[in-house]
Amino acid sequence: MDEPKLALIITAAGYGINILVLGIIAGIVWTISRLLRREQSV
Amino acid sequence: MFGLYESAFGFLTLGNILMLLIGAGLIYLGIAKKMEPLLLIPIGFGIFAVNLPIAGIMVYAPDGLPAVGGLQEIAEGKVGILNLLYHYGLETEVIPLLIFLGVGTLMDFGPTIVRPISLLFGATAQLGVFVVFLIAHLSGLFTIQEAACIGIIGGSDGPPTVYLTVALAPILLGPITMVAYSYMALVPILQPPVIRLLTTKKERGILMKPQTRRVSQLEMILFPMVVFIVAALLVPKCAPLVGMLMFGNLLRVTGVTDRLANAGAVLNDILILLLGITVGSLMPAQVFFNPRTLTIFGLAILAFVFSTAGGLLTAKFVNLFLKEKINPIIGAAGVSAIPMAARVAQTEGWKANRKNYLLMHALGPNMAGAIGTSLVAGIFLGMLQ
Repeated sequence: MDEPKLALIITAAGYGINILVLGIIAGIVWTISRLLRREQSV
Repeated sequence: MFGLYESAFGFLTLGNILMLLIGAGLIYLGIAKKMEPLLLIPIGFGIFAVNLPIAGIMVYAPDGLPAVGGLQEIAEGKVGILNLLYHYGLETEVIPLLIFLGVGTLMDFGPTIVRPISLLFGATAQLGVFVVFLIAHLSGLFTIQEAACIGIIGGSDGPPTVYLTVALAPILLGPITMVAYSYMALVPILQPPVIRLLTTKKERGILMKPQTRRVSQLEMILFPMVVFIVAALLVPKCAPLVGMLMFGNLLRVTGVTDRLANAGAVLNDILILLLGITVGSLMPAQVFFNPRTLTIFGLAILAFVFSTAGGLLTAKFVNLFLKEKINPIIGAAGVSAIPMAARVAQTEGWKANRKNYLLMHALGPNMAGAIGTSLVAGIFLGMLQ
């Protein structure tokens, strides 16, 4: 694969992976917070 | 006579003199303008060290990289003390990783935990990293590895920038680190025009209620562990950076490791001192004065602009779905540069609405930006190393 095409793929994939990973972490953090708060209120 | 024939004047080039002026300029900015003084002053002095001919504090090999050697070579005058620091501290990645540990002991992820969507802003504010990576490579001036190291300046976080550049393009470590740290200090100048261009005064004036929720200690303890495990499983190459950052943060929040956390903060100061002077010594005139280095200065501005836009536009997009709107300026704080970017958000929000107090809201994306940049470094390493 020529390098410009590789750079384009890395740009799209890299940005996407970055958002996906931090999105997953955000989801887990949100879920943990909800569970802990629900437990406290019960 | 009187040893004068050994003086270095005869070896001094115009490039050396200009570099000495640049070093003096950085020291001036650090002292007089308080711009990142902890880094710019050691960097400025390091520039002196390498641009004083035949001083032997930092010796270069013919391949343009610092000569390698140990104590024996120091005694023989083949390498200098800064060669040792470069070899054992930077080439091995020890210094940037331990600095990140120290940074972790200083970070409060409470605002990020209160509003987890902050993590999304920290991710999308890496836009400038990838845009400039692409531009730098397509310009034909840089290899794909070098382009990645230039792009990551847009993440506005020192240790990941140093970590990635040592691994992928060590020849550019000096200029890239200097640009990264000096531009970080310029965030209050670089970000406001982008913020004003992409938002209306009404948007900037959106009032955000103070966060009243108290984050429990259990959440604070779980956060670094969750981030480390998930990030290391999904992007294994980011594990050293994220691991050190999160380990440092865990020491801060356990409540029983305060002494270790304090030690991490002190260690941070020592390592920043070593990093600064070593990085400065990576800027001999022949490395600095070439078109590629000067291009890095321009590309880095673009990286900051696009990163600011990435976080800010995401916040505007998210607002389309939220009942209680958030001020889009806090998205711009996803550009790491802790805490300058958060302060910029506070100032810009306050200018638009005197009742606005955005600092704590902006610290969430700001902290998340550090995780985002570490992830991006890992992604580049995984794809390009």
